[in-house]
Amino acid sequence: MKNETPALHVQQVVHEDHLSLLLASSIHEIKNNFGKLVFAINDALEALPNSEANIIQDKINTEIRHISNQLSQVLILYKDYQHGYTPNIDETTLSHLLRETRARHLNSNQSLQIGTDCDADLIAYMDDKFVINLLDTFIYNAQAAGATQILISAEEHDSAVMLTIEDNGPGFAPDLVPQLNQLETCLGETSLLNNNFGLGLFFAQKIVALHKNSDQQGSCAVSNGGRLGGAKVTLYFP
Amino acid sequence: MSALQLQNLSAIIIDDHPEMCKQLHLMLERLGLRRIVSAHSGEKAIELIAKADFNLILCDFDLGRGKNGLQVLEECRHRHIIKNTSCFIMISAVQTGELVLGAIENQPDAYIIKPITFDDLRLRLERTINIKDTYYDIFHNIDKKNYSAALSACNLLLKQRPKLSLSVLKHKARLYCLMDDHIKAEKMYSEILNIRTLAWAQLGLAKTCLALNKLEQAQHLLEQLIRQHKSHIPAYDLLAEIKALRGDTVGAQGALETALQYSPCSVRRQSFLSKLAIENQDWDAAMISSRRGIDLGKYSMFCSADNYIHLTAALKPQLNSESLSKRRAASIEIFKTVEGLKKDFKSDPVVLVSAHFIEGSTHKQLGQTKESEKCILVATELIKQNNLDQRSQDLQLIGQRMSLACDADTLKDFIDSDICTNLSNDFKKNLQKVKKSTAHNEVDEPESEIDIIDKFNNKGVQFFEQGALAEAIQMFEQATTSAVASYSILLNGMQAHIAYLQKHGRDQFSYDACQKIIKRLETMPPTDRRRSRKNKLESMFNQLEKEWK
Repeated sequence: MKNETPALHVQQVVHEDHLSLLLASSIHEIKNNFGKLVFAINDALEALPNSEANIIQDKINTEIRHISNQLSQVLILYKDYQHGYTPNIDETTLSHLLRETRARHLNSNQSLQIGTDCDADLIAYMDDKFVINLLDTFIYNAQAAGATQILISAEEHDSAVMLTIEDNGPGFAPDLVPQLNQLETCLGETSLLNNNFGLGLFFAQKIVALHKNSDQQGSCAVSNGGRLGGAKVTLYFP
Repeated sequence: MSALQLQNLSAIIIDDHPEMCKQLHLMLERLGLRRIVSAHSGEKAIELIAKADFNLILCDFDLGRGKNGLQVLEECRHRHIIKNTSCFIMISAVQTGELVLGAIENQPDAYIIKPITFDDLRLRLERTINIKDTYYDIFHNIDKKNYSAALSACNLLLKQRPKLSLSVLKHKARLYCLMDDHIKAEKMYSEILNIRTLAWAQLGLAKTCLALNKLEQAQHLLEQLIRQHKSHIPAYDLLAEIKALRGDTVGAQGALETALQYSPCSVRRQSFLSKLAIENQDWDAAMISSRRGIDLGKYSMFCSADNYIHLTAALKPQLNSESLSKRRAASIEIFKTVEGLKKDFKSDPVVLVSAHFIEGSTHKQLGQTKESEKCILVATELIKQNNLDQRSQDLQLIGQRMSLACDADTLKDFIDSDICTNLSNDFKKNLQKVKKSTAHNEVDEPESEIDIIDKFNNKGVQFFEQGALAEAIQMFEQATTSAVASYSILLNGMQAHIAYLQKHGRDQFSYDACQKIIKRLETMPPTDRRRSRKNKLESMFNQLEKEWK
């Protein structure tokens, strides 16, 4: 009895974000199904002649790895986010980041040309795992739109770092550009967010805005033209 | 000319799967490396790393049985067996928060997420080696402990590559800390923070404030950092240290508990938490953290006897439980913990002596006099065999451990014995004070009064266990009417009164006594673990009141 506390069954109000739990659970299921799909694809590839199978298999494996990593990362973010998420902003040497991005995409698509332009010592303060995702998204979108050349560049601009992704594709529909630059205020325009690029840009704007320094906040802008004549996406990191 | 040429580097691959080692070996060979060795366990890896300098360490996080990758890194860094110029790359299936959120000094230079392709490895190595190469002169001089040369290298790099300035200033501030020049370090961190708010600079500034004994300022900085970065584990660790130094052990415990939600795998954090929880008499928290600390410590160099001692101390109150099964479970776990202590620290006589005293004290509290005397005799013999009675430091440590985990009589017998003749009276007095405060949470009260209350309380518990409620109430009344009665004693008194009211119906004396106790319990802090018991007893009392109305 002394110092002894009887075990109490106190009903505790536990705050749980049910929506994110459901999403995480669905993603976990997608990951499992995806694993099964990979086995099925490998079985199908075995039926092909060796030379053809090898080329296709390389491409498929690269994509599989990308999707698997993304799904795992989402689940990890869910786990970490439960205690409150803040971006892990640290110094990143941009020349390394661009070189790694370039290599990753050239491995999966030899017909694509990716150039980089960046000072070797240029440093930005960012959560690099998110920025890597953003670059991947914009490169995939450019490819999907028909671009064959992409240029990723980084430079200092008014005490911020400006990261630009330009391509030689058809660019954005000119009448959509103003809305794409103000997605936050155009949330009613569901057609924009249902479109793959619109959704990617919406996430990009959210992620870049997490980067702050003093009274400055990160931002994201799209335009047409640029050095390769197609679409141009510019990310500002203060 | 680069100081680190890939083909000249020596590498160690640490993975429990030989096939994985083989694949990584082939990839490194393809990159031009020639001196490559493999280790299939963390223990073997540490042995090899201690013998030879490796420029590159590729270590899998999950190493099966034994140490994991983080424990390998932690030990290597702690023992300074990997150089600042070396690259430690952690391989993992996923980049979990637990992996990333550990102590800053235990962060690897890079991560690689599985499955690893040749290009992944090449690019990650190029990036890591490039960084090491940029700061090579700084790191190399730090390794040689030539800090002034490292500072010169920083200044040169600042001139040559101004774009790297913040990063170089970070190394400069760290160097000032290594040189114990905390005033310059403080200035440097403040300078960096004027340019940009960076978490590592905020933490660095807080550390220098701690070194300069500016505790309030350090605490303020850390609280600010935590508001901005909720999962900044090193900030919580340092905040706990500062709060404990400022006497806020409850706040310190809270900071560590939050850190453990994010990163539960640190032996040292669990040990610190169990120590604080014991001080705060939060037995449940002390039990959980000390058990976890023992478990995590199995393969860690930070395995500490304190976790075992804390666990026995946290279990000890249960030896007085009214529930036989709880008393039995507690005694079984104490004996098991003591056996673990004897086994894991068999070559440490001070620990062995403490273990035998705790064992003896537990037998004594269970009424097993013969077994108790036997254990205490073994402890006494061990002291003499190892001449510990000649070493007051060792005796003090034994005494401190006993004050946590032994009953008051066993501690008193030890202090009064010939063995402790050389110990100062002040120390002995202090030990007994600690003992009292652990038992009653009342540090400055006169010893005699506490003793008297304690005796009445113990008798009350005995009567209560026998079902003699009226007698129990009589005893508790003697204890609870004292102004220095602890919350535990007040709760015991209230429990006896409620049991009496439940059995015999409305009784004005017990009713009034409960109300008085409820009033006195109002001062119980919200964080006190006994609060749940208080709430339950109060709701039982309210229920009885309702029934009578």
